[in-house]
Amino acid sequence: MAKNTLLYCATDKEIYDVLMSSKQRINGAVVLELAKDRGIFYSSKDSRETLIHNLSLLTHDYHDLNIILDQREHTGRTEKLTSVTLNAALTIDEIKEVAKDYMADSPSDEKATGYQKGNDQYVVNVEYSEIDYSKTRLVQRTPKAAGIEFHIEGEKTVIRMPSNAKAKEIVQKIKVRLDNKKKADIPVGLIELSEFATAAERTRFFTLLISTLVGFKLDNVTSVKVERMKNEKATDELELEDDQNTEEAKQEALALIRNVALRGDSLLASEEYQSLQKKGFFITSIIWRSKQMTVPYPVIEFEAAFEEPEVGKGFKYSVRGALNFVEGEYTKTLRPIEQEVKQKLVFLIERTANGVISKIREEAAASADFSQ
Amino acid sequence: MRRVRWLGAEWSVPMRTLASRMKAQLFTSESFDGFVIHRVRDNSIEAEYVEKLTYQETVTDPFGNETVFDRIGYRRIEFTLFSEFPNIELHDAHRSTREFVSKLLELCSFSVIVEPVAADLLCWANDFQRNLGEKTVIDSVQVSGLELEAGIYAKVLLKGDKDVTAALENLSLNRKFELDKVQVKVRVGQKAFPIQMSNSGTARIPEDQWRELLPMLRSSLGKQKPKN
Repeated sequence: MAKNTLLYCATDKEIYDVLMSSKQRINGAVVLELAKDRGIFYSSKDSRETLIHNLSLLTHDYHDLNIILDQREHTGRTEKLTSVTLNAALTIDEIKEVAKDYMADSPSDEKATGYQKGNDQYVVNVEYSEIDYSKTRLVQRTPKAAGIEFHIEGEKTVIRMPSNAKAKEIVQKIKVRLDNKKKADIPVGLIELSEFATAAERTRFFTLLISTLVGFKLDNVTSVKVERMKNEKATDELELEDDQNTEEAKQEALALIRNVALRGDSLLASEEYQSLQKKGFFITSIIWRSKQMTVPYPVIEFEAAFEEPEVGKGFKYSVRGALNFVEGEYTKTLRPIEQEVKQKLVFLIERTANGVISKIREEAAASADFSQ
Repeated sequence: MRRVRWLGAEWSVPMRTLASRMKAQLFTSESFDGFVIHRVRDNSIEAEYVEKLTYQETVTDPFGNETVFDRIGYRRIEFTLFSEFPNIELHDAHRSTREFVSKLLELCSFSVIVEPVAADLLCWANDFQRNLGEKTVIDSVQVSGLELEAGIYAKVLLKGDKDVTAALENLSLNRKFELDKVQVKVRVGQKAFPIQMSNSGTARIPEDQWRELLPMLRSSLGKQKPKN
């Protein structure tokens, strides 16, 4: 019985927890403002804890609770994107039909809607909830939305989605439906580096990506993560069962660095990065800024990374914002970019990444021919 | 006064190779950016990095009518690269060298180390005096981090019509401090002219003495090559 009554109400402790949990968004001034809305003036000299303690003991109706939750709710970071290419000729009607089929069948905790954008794009928006039981009860459920875009480009269709498990699951379900419709397993193309086994090739992917964006010029690299290439055991190695050797190997492993994250300016020219590169580390994630070479010369910040760096799978990327050229100088902080422009930039990353992979493949083939 | 900034670098390719890569990216009337090469030697490259900026300027007349003009601007970085330390010399460059460093990285296939110079100013000034073969006077110094009391630091500018280094010693009383900038007075005949040097490897040289003094300042800084 007690369990059911608690389902639709928030206890003073839960209100206390939710107010206390977000120190940045609900600071002392916000708590004072919340109290002022109720006609209560607390002292601004009271500590945040005392203020929250006093406020949480008051009666809160549905509206009051919503105000608190609104204060706490953050817009969320823009998620990185990922894409899948379906190498088959699909029409917009086929995609629309399959998407509608999925929407009709979608689980009860999801709300899926879809619409056509132009002649060659279809967008499926899925609103769903993410539950995190480790949080306090009132904020366990986070409403989220995944925009899945289908871009028809001649003989292939690119599906662009947020790089998270939920979006991938939805795309997989839609793909199965498309397979059934086409009565064939549609071949899938992914941006992956699994075929490149050397650290140099993996790093070359990123250096080419940041330096060959058409219409852009590399300005700065502000964040880099590097990882050590796992050396495969040589098959012809002598296996000596010697306790002393095992002990030595154990000791070596103690001082082994697996990955390093660097933050700063012009990182790729730093001594630290270059020495790591020489030691066989390769780039797994990068944040860089490139200057657009057309008016008004904005500096765009991009991010690219692999979800599974060791195997070079799960390429994800995002356009983080722009430094605009205003009155002779660049803004100090990143400004948001219009959705339309962002989409073009995302497309540019995808196209460049695919081009870079082909180039590295050609280079690898050429060097293999040469060595033969 | 003209400004010069030196940076250290570890090249992965010889100067000639670097120059041939620059030649592949020459600045033309159609390009947005590129290099203009002046002189290539086995151990140095003198060149310019040019960036073309096209923008529109709007002028509003007293009647509120707007006229838009298409403008073209060029941003130039005049530089010399050396195989020996100091490896990069930038002439009158704007403060941000990031873009230029990124361009060098691309030229060197992302395999080059570029580092700021940390100069010992008194040694640099002494070596410069020796190179010049003339008596010079340090008539201004800027000092920071001079600990007056525990937790209290001073930033001090000393100026004089004679050498101020002795006064600096008296003032500091063996306390720790950081020497940020020095001004060296060089006397040639009746004329005296100042040269400002900073610990980040920059110098300001009077326009008339630029050609004559620049190589001396460079070679005296070269004696401070960091030991690896």
